[in-house]
Amino acid sequence: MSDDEIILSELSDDELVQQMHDDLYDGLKEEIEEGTNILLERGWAPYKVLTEALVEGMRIVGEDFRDGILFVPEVLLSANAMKAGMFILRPLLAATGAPKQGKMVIGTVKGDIHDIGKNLVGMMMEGAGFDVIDLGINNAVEKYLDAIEQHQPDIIGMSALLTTTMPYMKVVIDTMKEKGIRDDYVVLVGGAPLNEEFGKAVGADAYCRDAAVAVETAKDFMKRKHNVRT
Amino acid sequence: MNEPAVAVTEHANRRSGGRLGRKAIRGAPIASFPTLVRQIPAYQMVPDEAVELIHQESLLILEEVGCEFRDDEAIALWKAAGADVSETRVRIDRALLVELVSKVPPEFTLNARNPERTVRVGGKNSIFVPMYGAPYVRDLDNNRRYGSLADLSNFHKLAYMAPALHSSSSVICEPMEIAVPKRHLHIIHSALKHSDKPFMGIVTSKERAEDTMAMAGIVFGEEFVRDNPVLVSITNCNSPLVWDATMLDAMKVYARNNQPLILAPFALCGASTSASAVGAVAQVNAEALAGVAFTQLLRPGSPQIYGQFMVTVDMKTGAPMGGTPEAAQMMYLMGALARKYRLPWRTSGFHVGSKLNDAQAGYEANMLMHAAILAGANYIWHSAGWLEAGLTCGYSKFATDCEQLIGWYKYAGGLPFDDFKEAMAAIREVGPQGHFLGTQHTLEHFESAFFMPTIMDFNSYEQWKAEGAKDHDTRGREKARNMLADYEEPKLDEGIAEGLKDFIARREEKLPNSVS
Repeated sequence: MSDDEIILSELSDDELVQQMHDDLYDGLKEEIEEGTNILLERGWAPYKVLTEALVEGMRIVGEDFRDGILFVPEVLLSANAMKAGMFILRPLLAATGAPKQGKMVIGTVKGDIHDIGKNLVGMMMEGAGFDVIDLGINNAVEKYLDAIEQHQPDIIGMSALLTTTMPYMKVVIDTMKEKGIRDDYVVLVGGAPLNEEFGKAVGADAYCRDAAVAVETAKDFMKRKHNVRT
Repeated sequence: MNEPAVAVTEHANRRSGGRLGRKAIRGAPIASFPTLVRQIPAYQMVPDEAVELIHQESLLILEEVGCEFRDDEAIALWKAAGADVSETRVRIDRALLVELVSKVPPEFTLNARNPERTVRVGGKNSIFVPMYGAPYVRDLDNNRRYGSLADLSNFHKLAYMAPALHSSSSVICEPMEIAVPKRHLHIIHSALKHSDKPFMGIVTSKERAEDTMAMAGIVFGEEFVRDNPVLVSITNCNSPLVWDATMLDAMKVYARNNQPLILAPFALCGASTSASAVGAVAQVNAEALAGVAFTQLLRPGSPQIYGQFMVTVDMKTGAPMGGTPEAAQMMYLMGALARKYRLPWRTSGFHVGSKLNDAQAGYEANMLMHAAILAGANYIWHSAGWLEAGLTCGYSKFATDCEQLIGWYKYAGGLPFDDFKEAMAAIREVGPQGHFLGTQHTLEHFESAFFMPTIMDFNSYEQWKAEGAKDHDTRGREKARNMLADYEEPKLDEGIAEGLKDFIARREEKLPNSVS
């Protein structure tokens, strides 16, 4: 299946977009950077490059991940290639006032240093075109509040692996309520010992059972926010 | 991300065709595995002195008690060889016995009609073989009913598709709708048509064994099957200490054509042996050795497989059990004896008493297969489908067993060190607090590093629930159904296919429709 002879610049727009879907699927960072630049040089609006080449490509990746055809390391590679394309597009998107996919602040809660799940969600979200602000591990409520103020995200993501640390999610959400800012943000929670019931009980908008579901849920909330239906 | 929490290394591979390319790779059936060459040591559960003690007692049984051979020709052969014969009772002195047993080659090649499926048996070489002889099936809708030719064909198809099965067996389930005198023709035809792996012979009469050889001759060539192993047949000693005429007839046909037999007492320990694991092994060893020795009177140097089927009896009911600790322990003893005699050794793997593909089946199967693997078995039979002490072949169990065999194949294949350096480099690449899912080493090895079963479910509770909260038995049936939907028949030369059909038609004209 090796196809190293493909010269991206010689492809028509349609062919190039198809090839970029394949290259995203194959996790080819440099090829995605090249393809992104070619489309921009051909006069494509940055938003059109984002949606038709990158986001659509990652949609296919997400589908096949869900269906068990692609595995986690491959999806991370695809997300990494997507991120490289986004790196080129982001300033142009901002300059042209294009609609944003959304911004997320994410971290594990106080007392919890287990971050593989959180990292996966972060990378998958970036792969779907979101801006992700990663607060890392062991975050007290102040860290979330500072990040909210500084970054003005759309989504707050909290993660915990331990039954002893997961109740801290309620502390963060209650504090947001006290400050009167809870309803300004979508709060998504996740982690092995959580479930939907727990998510509701602590006042989150949704519990996400895995990284793929987190991306779907985030996209869904962003559509509602922008009142877009598909 | 403002904090790069993870290192993602550039992929070494370039374009692989995107979605279509990956789907083609992932959707392709896994190629059949070659012979399992064991890379782990065989475990001996008792000291050498204990093995020697059992060996000596077995020799004494054959010298003092002797063994029945209920066939005139067999008796004549034993007499000519110098054994102490009294009517059908044969007492074999140790010198004669050891001399005969030592003629058996320690390993042999078992030819498949597709040379890529040809395997070795003996020494470090092991193969997995699906079950044999079930009158019932537990079908794709979870009903228990008599087996049919359609079921048998399905199991041959599944055996062909299962990468870790090395044989199609033969009568995995009985095609009960076919008259007994003609049944063998259709059993062998199904095995040869639906799979290109080695298969097993019919042993229920001399005539049927001869038909089996004739059909093998059509496929492999008449000359070829006179000297080259293409099928393995089971002959059971009726414990205690009886080799009956039917089995001896089958031995005569197959051994004289250099086709390996499994010489395996069928022992319900506690009923047809003493109620002692070591006592049972001493008896079964004597019975098996007597059978092995007899084959060498028929054709010296012919390849044979020493073995046993030993399960304990439930003293509450008299019913045979399956995966009990004693059955596993007895395997270790039989394995040690087989190595002492340098004989290829058959035991069984997944033979359980459970009615369903349930927790009992899983525990039983694991108890036995773990022992079979560690004890160094070469012909690991009943490795797919077996339920209810062999009365039933289950589709779900068959699919589950096939999947588990992939894991056992890997287990017995040992621990590879070839990527150890790269794995150590990955530790340095990631350091504390990161993850390894994006490292070069992971990208290069994730597909083969760990067993990835598809029937076993490791999803989140929510995902499992969203997919219908199916139990293992249900998932196994679905897997079997999906495999059968994807089945493609292996190529068979048209002339051979016609030859088999003609042969069956000719034989069916001559054979009666009922047993007399």
